[in-house]
This record gives sequence, structure tokens and C-alpha cells, in this order.
Amino acid sequence: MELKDISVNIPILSKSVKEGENNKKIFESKKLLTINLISSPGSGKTTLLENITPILNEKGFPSLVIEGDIATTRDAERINKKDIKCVQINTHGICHLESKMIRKAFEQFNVEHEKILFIENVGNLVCPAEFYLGEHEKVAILSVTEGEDKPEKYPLLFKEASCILLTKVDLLPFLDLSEEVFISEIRKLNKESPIFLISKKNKNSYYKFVEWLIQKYSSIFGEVQ
Amino acid sequence: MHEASIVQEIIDITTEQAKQNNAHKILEVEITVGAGAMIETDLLASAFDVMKNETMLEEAILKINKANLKLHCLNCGKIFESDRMISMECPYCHSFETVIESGREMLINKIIAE
Ligand SMILES: [Zn+2]
Repeated sequence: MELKDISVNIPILSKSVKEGENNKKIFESKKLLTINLISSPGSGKTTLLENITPILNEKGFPSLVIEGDIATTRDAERINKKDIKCVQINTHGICHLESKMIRKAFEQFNVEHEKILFIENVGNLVCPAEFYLGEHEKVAILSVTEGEDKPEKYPLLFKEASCILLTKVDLLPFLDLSEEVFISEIRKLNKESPIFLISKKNKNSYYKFVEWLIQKYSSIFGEVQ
Repeated sequence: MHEASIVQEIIDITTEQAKQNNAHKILEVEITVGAGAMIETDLLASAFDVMKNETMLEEAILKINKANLKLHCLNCGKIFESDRMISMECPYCHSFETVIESGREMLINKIIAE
């Protein structure tokens, strides 16, 4: 048998990137700002969504949620209680979401007047950062209980995130850490993206992030009357 | 880890390439993985050995070339390399204002098939 030396030169994730771009076209045809939320497990992603979706509703920006989880449906149940359309993806052990899964989950929505699609990625700081899903923005979430050295250990996500949420800031006094420490650690990697401090004890802390989302929406789809 | 997803892509892409070249068996796959690609190459190799069974790659060996992460410091202008994605701090001026020049790639270079 003749041996063939075949030059390939194809990026391994090229198909996945293409599928992500197809997703983006679909999201834009429905005028949906799409946000990929990335964090460690237990950083407060679901709590965040529970709190901001009612505010967004009030402001005329109803949302859709795709909830990624390795094994359970608990988070989706929490979100569904808030009357938000939510579809759960159970990845059966896979540590990140992929564009194909998003496409399938998205087909289950009956999209009406929703304006924002949140993708709650699987709790993991490494793998989800490598997979483009078709989102407009990557948002990194870091809870203060994870320690201020997290950004340095996972630089890629913090470098690429277009917004960083520091959550559970009400716990700072108990940790003997100041918010300035976290901010300066994040700023070492990312000079520009806004950092918002969030605490579920203070509902007002959600408003700046909500404003940021609305402003992103207008910059892509124009002002909403 | 996401190594299994990466291996599945490798299998799909190389199988397609082999078929296009009228080959029926892949003997070797050569890939390049950048230090910034967040891939554990040992895990990748063991996932490959399991997942290649019952595919055209059953007898294939996986050759992994590693590429360093190349960073450019915006503060002092120097370029430096690292074999791990841990710190992006410039070793010369200790600035964190660095940009990635290369080293995030995951590429299939070539295959040998028959
Ligand atoms: Zn420097």
C-alpha cells in the first residue's frame, strides 16, 4: 500500500468556530444580545440571573436563559420560578458548552419579544474560555470567597472578558480582604473592561450591570423606544 | 477537561481529509498545541488512545508539537516566551500590560495515511 503524506493545516476547533458564527447569525436575526457567563462553580451565576432578570423585564428587556450544568437541573428550576424562559443543557460530565448544544437548546425557545439571551456556562474557568458559542460578550464572574489570586491563575478569561463581576462583596469584611485588592489584581490583566461589584444583600448593586447590558444592546441593535 | 472534545474534532477532521485523498487508514497524525491553548497534552494523548478505537485512526500514533506562548510587552516593548499560561507578567519590566502574539493555536499539521 502506498503511504500518503497529506498536509492538513486546519485549526482543530475550526468547525466549532464556524458553528458559533452560525449561532450568532441566528441570535442577531432575532435581535438578541447574547452573553456568555463564565465562572467557577458556586460563584453566584444563578443568583445573579434571578436578580437581574426581573430588573431587565421592568426596563423592557425580557431575557432568555440557557443553563448549562454537568449533571443537575436544579439551577433551571430556580430560574423558571422567576417566569423567565429557560432551557437546561445537561452536558453529562462535559466541562463546557459547545455551539452545537446551544443551537439545539435555542430551538426549544419560542422567541417573542425577548432582547437578551444569557448562556450560563458550566462552572469552570478554563474550558469554557476556549469555546466560542456565538456570543456577543464574555462576562467573567468572580466571587470574593475564591480569593484574589484567581485572575492570575486563569489569566485568559480575565484578559478576554468584556465585563467582570465581583460577587458576594458583602462577605469582604469576613475575609479580611478589600475590594481594592481584587480590582488591582484584575486590572493587571485587563485595563479596560468595567468591573462591577455585586452583593445580593444590596439590590442596587445590580443596576450598573443592567445598564451596561442595555448599552451593549443599543450599540448593536440601536436604541429601544 | 475538554480534551475529549478536542480528540473528537481531530478524529472527524483527519477522517474527512483521509477520505478526500482516497486513503482508508490513518497511521500518523501530527498536531501543534500552543502553551496558551489550555490543553493538557498528556490527557489529550490518553484520550486519543481510547477514542481512536473503531475508527480509521485505530493504528495511528499522535505526534504533538508544543509551541511556546509568545507575549509582547507594551510597556518595554520586549518579546518573551513561556511554556505555560500562568503569568502574563513581563520578566524584564514586571508590567502586566502584555499581549499574546502567538501560542494559542491548536492545529492539525498533517497526516500520514494509506
Ligand atoms: Zn516589559
